[in-house]
Amino acid sequence: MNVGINAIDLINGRGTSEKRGVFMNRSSNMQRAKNEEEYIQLPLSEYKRLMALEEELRVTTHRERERMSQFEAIFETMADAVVVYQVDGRPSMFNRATREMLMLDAVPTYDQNLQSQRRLASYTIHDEHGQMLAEEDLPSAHVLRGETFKGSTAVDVIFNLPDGSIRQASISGAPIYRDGKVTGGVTISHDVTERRRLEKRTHESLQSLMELAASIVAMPRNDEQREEKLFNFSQVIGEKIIELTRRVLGCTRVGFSEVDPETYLLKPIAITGFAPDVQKLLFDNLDQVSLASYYSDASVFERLKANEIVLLEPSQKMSVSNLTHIECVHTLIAPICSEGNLIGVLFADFANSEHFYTSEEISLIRAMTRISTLAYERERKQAELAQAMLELHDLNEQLVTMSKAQTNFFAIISHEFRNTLSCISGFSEMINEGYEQLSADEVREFATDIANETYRLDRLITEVLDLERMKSGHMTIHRAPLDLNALMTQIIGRVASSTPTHHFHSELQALPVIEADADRITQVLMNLLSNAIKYSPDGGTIHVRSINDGERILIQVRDCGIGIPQEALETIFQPYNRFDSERTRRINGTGLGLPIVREIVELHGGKVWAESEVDQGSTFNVTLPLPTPL
Amino acid sequence: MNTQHPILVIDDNLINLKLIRVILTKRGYEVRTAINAMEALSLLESIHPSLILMDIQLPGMDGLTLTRKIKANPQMSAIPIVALTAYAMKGDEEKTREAGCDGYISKPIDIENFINTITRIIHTSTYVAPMNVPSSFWGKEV
Repeated sequence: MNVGINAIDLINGRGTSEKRGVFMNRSSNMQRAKNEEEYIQLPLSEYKRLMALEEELRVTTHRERERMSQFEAIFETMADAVVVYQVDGRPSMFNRATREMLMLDAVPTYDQNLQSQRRLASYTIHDEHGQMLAEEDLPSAHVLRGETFKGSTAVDVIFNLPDGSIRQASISGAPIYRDGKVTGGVTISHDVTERRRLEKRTHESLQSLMELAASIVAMPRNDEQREEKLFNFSQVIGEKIIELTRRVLGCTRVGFSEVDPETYLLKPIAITGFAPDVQKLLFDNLDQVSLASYYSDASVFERLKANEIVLLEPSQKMSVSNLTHIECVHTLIAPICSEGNLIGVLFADFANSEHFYTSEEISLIRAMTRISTLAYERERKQAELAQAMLELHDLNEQLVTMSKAQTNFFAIISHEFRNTLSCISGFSEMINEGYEQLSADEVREFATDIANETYRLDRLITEVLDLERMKSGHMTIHRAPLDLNALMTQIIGRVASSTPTHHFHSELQALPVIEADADRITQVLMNLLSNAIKYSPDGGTIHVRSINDGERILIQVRDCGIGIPQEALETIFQPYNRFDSERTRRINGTGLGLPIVREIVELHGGKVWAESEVDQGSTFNVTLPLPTPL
Repeated sequence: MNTQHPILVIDDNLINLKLIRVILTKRGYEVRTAINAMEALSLLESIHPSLILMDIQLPGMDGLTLTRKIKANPQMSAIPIVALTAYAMKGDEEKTREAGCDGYISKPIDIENFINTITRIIHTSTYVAPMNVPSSFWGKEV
């Protein structure tokens, strides 16, 4: 049976129940069908088949349309910028992300908007180092040549936008094939502008820190400079830190100051970003300012002491002097601590602008303060080392001097001993072998000489032993009642008889019997007398006095010899330290006497000192305590 | 005894000086003494000793320096010099020979050895006539 179908109904998809059976070639006859109604006679089975096909077509079309919408949606909502290229290199489609990234006008999706296309094509693209890419190096060119790149082979490019800003993108791409031939290409660009910026900042921060560390390591180790400024880590570090803070963080005002760990007084090292007169004011006045009173909020100081970085609130001020305050908006104060003490402080802000410090920025500041601490500690160690080296050097020199003195000492001792022995053996031999040739007086004379030399030798040996005992703290005295004047008279007599070159004059006041070691006192007197003789080589008179002034006993031995210069009056009492001068070189001796004299006198509770004038002579004074009444 | 050519003894130790002076005068020599180099040099301007006996350890200018000085002076260089030293260490004798000394005697002095040495030196020296040495000398021929 034949059924007539309204063609229009068919096209419009409105199913007709009875009028099926008309099959129309839609495309070619659509226009006509709108105006005419044409009917074709078809058998029913054919008609049904046609209907089924139509339904299929409709469903497929619908599905297609849905798929297309989905695809559109995905395409548009993708975060990354997708561009589809024709084989001639021009972009055929690009999504909203592309428009946003490249700041194209807002135009409905992926229409072939020639204007936008042209704009897209006319953006300059550079590689990540800033070099403009040649035509054949563009990502689009790569994909159209059949290359695929993604992941590790993704390309980093920089787009220069018309407004001057840049976008940095990581681009992956692939060609589109059909029937084995490249018919187009796709690039997907991931906006990495922000990430790259952060990476760059981190890299810069790291580099700055390394620069800072390097400059510390490279700081002068020259010994000469060390001696001048034993401790000046701040200047170099301070300037470097404020420069880096300014450069990397972008702070406009930065200041670096040492802090005295005890008084907390500030000592500004480097300041930047203030007006010149303010800067001068800061440098002039800050060193009288204690960090404790610097900030209007007292807790700031406490926190700095606890090695905490402080962010000043806008309401807080820093008081430079009674008249001057520095307004702070968002100021960062970072402490520099070493071994628990606050030794420095870094201040940074953006003048009167707000700034919200990121954790990376705080970390950078923290790292810089840590480096400062290290630099400070290193400097201090180096200063200590230099000091220790100096002390070591001094000690070494002392040691060398002492060693020389000891060698000299032994030489002198041998000399003295042998001289004395020589006399003893010489005169003995003379008496022994030349007896007939010698008169009785001569024999007596030589015998006396032998005896004197024997005493002398004994004294020498005692001196050497005493010095050893003195050095090890073992010298002792044995007190017994002693008539000092009687002893003195005896000793002076003995010395006078063997010293024809000098006159001896004594003035002895009445003295009580004292508790003293007779042998040791003898040593003292012999020593002072022989010194007096030695140091007046042209002869003259030696005066000996004993005085009792009611408080103590004073003994004086005075000569009119060459005298002793002021600066040597103390050192002559030091072992091995016989004062050396042109004149005293004429005089030999062990140099032991006076130190032992002092030791003995002090063991008796007294004092010994010398008074002298060059060329006028010397007076040696010994005081001894009067016996305490029982 | 030739007073024109005495023996010059230089020693800063007075007792030592005395000992040597006694020994020498008992043997018939004329003796002049000095207690340091400066005194010795000023004496040498006016006397012509037949021998100089010198303690090496002198205060101020030491004995060896004085020896060199004397040996460098053409007017005195022929005077024999014998070193006396109380500080006999290895190499001392060497040093004295190097400085120009003609002999070396260490203290304590052995009188026989001492006398033998100086007589030998005076006798062999070209400076003075042998007749300077007294013949009445302990019976020994020279």
